Amino acid sequence: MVDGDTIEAARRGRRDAQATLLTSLQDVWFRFCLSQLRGDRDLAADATQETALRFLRQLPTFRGESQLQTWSLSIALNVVRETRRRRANESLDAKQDAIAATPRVARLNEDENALLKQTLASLSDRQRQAITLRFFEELSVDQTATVMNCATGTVKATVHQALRALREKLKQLQ
Amino acid sequence: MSELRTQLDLMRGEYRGERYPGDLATEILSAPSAPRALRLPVGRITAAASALVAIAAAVALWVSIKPAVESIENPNPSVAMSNDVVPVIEFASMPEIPADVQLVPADVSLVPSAESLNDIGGMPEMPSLDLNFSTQTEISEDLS
Repeated sequence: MVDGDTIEAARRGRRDAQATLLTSLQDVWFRFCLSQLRGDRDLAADATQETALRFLRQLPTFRGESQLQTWSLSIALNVVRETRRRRANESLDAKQDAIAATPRVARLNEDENALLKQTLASLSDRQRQAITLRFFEELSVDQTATVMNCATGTVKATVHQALRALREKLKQLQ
Repeated sequence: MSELRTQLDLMRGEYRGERYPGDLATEILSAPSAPRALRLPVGRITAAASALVAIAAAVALWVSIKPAVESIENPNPSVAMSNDVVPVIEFASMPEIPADVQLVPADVSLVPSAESLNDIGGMPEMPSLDLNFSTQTEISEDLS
């Protein structure tokens, strides 16, 4: 974790402190973007860079009301949403169609992990965000709500629906 | 539920194993520094050029004003200047033309002579014009 002095120094524009923050957060942003952009690594890397630029630009407005990582993930989520919107009719849909068109027999031969990945990819954007933040980033419900900019009750309901959908889809596939 | 939980745990391990393929600090923070490094000398050069122009202008102004100021002052310190007012009557008297010297020969007249004004020629006569442009009289006559 990054200490408060480093954050304060980065807020005041010190390059070395900013570099420390970027180094500590780059993997968090990348894996989150990767999970939300359905495994497109190039797109995820671009989104990570965009997140970093916005993070540095908005850092002076960070008031420490939440953890820096939680706050930065809300920036990453906005970048992901914009990226998805831009690419709505492009490669992402094509990839999704390819996943959907994969023969059932072939999918059954894959290991369960890959199966779950496919199932996760078939969830709605909000459900996938909730699952990723809650179970993979291990954020609390409050932190997840902060990142998703919604109420805690909404997070709980979304996670519940996502888990139910995952279970049903796994049953169907198996 | 437990099976799903187990799979989610497995996926978390894979998820957390993902690494950004590069160094964001180098990519993001070094990019703007190059243009800034290029911008700084331009600013300095502009400031230096402005200062030089200002100094040159000041020197030129000083050079153009300096002689005029000195000419008003005493150009030769060894010669004392006098501010006394000299009366007009003390100026040297103007040279006079001697009375016995003729400026014009005696048989030549400076005034042209003419026998009469008719020799000069008469003024041309203007053609007579009817300058009464009013038609009111004619209209009133027609109406009557």
